[in-house]
Amino acid sequence: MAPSTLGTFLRSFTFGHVRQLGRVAETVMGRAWAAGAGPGNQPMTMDVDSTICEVHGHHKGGAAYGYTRQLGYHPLLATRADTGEVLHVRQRTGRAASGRGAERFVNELAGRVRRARAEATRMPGMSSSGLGRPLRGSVCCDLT
Amino acid sequence: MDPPALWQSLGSDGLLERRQLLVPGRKRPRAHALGGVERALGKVRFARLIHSGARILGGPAVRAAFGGNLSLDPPARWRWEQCPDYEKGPLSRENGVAETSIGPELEGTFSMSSSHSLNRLVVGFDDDHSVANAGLVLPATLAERLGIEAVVDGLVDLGDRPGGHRPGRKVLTLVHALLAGAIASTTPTCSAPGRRARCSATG
Repeated sequence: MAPSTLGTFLRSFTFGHVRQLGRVAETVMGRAWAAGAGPGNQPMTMDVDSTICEVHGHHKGGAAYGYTRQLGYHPLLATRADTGEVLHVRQRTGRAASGRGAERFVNELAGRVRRARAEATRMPGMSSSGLGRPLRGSVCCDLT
Repeated sequence: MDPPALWQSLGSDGLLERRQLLVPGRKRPRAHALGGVERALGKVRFARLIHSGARILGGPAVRAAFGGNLSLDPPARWRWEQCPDYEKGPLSRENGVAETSIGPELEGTFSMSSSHSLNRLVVGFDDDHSVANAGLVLPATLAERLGIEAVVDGLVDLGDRPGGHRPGRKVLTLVHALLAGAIASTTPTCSAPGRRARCSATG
């Protein structure tokens, strides 16, 4: 079967390109928050948790059996508690422990949210009182 | 039956009824389940849908917005007594059959010109009860407003790798496919977790 355009496109990605896509997501999130989707100056609660994404087949790269005895991936997710908006995602292999890479993930999440808020407050019509402030709100981690 | 009286007697599907009444000896076409007209030899014609403008089903709110009158007057080109080519037959092209599409006396339905420009749409975040799965036009409009394609073209550089031309367009294809309900795609082997050692990191 001939390769599809999107299949060829996706197979060209390396982990560095995934990081580039992370920057794309961060930029788009900042623009969306500047358009009014952000929390503004209100406190924001972020939920950080891992989940199991079960897959089937023997040729799935990175799929492995974890503590749930299911074949799949074990990504980290960070969402807004009030809206459910996905703030950050990190794909991990299925056999990864729950807390693997969590520290770096939370650091990246904090920087991403801070930059998005700064970009949102830089836009005209928005209050700039949040510029330069430390990240407010709380991070709820459940990585036991 | 004179044409004005015939016009008044048409039902909700005016064009269909017109063709049935004005072409004697022809087998009556049947309305197709998908909105077209099933004709002889099993061919389904959707010309009426193609030529017609966007049809918006309206209830009391739409009726009130348009002054409570959703009925449309018969087009002037169907006043056959004024048409010099009436002798050729009422369904000839000279009588404007290929152009007309508006049916009279549509109960709760009216025709209007559709807009193909996204400039008339505005995406806002002022409703706390917004839900997903509400369609594709607004997410596509939001994607255009946010400039996702330009951002991807500026930040993602695949170099000379296959598929590296205009990555923004391909990312938007993936995003819109996911919005439309796509559930499977080719798994990028190198970007999958646990396979980093076999890939060359460039970023």
